[in-house]
Amino acid sequence: MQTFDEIYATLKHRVYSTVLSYVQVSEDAEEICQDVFLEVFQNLENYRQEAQISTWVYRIAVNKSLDFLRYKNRKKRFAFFSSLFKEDSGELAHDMPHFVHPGIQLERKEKAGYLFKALNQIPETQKTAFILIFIEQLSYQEAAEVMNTSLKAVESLVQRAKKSLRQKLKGMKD
Amino acid sequence: MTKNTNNWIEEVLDSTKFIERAEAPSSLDAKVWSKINSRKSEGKIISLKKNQLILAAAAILFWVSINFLVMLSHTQKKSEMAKGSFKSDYGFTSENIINL
Repeated sequence: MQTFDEIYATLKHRVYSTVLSYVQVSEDAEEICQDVFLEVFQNLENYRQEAQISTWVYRIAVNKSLDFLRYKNRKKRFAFFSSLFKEDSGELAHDMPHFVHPGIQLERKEKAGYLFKALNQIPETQKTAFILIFIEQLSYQEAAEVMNTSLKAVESLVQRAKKSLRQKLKGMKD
Repeated sequence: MTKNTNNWIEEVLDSTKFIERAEAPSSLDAKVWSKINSRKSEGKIISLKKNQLILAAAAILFWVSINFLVMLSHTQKKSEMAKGSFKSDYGFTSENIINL
């Protein structure tokens, strides 16, 4: 059984990177990472080794990120009605900032920016499958364990995610 | 969809191949540990409060049972008085008390 220190040292970059792909704001990602590792610390004694510890930690990270995004969307919807536009510039106040992943090579930054923008517009499960497999480079089997679903379901989610992304990107290009 | 748009979409999708894992900022370590330590001390306070609560409950229970026993003994004495079979600590019986 690994100690908390070992788990933290092994997984902190992976967890941060995954969370960042979801929330796309480094301060928010840092905040969520703290909550993830706090939950790991509190529940490590009760953790039953049914799955790999990294799978369990990934699952917590994915759930916390999705919870955060749901909360943010709810807040955004409320704010949308109260203040549609910025007072000074008249600019739309609630648009998502253009995200640049810190791990992307310079010449690909613009394209990756479009990808992350499109990722924000597809369903949660498709987004999770896409992030875990194509950005976090997990195997389909590992992604299925993290998402608590079957291998076939993940394969289908990835196909649907690609299809949805193509549609969203087409809209952006046009 | 034009070939140009199609190529662009595929290039955007392919950009995942060029994303390296983002490294957690060094400030994260201190923040995580501070959160864990504050939760640990909160846990200590909660367990301390729990102990105090148990002690208080035990004291209340003790006080209630003592009162109940005192009340029971008074009731017993009263009923003995009524029956006339009461004998005080000084040797007076209920008849002596009535004659007085």
